[in-house]
Amino acid sequence: MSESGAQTVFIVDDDAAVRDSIAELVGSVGLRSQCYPSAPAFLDDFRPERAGCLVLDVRMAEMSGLELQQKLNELAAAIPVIVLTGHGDVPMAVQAMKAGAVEFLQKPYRDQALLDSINAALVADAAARRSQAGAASFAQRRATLTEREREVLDHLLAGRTSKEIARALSISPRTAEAHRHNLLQKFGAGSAKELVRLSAASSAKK
Amino acid sequence: MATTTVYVVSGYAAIRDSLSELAAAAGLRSEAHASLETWLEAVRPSQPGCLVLDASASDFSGAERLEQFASICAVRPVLLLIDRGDVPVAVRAMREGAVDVLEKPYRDANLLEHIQRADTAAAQASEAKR
Repeated sequence: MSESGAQTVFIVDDDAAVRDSIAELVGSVGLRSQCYPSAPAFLDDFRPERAGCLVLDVRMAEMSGLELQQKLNELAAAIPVIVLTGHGDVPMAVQAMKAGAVEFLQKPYRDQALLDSINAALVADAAARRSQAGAASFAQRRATLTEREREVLDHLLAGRTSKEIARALSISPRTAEAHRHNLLQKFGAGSAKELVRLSAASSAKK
Repeated sequence: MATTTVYVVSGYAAIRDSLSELAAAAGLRSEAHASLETWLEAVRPSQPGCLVLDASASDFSGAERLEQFASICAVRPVLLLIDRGDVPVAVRAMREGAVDVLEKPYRDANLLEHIQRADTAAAQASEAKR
């Protein structure tokens, strides 16, 4: 459970007994949690950089779980959402899933089912944050390149070999190869293919 | 514009017939199959169209089946018809990529609206591939 150290399970439910029981369940497997009695209370405190997942009740007085999902989508917040409900039906489940929920559980749920969903959501959040961090550093690293290096990079991303790049830029194959080698090192990529992957992850983020 | 097909898959002849009629009345071309297996044999993934699948024609319990369902959803819009109140199946289907899940019994007008939306999405997808 090395990754969960910095992750928090955010619990939003207007029923204090439900909040406490979920917090206790989550705590029993060594996860950190934070409870909110309403959706606005959660939104006020929400910071996208905080890693974790959200366990969300559907029916709440001020703002429903679905409305909170929509608000989070408007903020482009990627936090995985597990929706809990006492009186769920198919249209409600479909709506929650369309709004991006990773799971929709009906009460009474089995503790293990909720824990499994939470663990899956935390793994997904950690993975998303890793690829996001990779994407950010790709753009940052690209900005530090010289103009010539950037040209070579573009050719590499287009799938060209060192020989082809040399011809296109009218430089010697050895120079092209040296540029290629340096670029891979700068981006921490093992191959041109990996470079393409990093670049794709970076542009997918935009 | 009618380059796409509404594929109707249900184990029930009554549902196949009524959905085919519904599609025809809306000017959509349709093709009915009695099981997912026969449909998979008859229709290649590259053939454009949406799938209206009656969940009772298939079994979504196994991981393999879910994977198969996900791979169908990856290439075309899939509209799943399920038994009333079957929330777990609805959630699973949405997670695997269904565009929508509707309960049986359905209202014709409501279902048609969903089919038309899925058909339009299928047409756009096949247009984009060209």
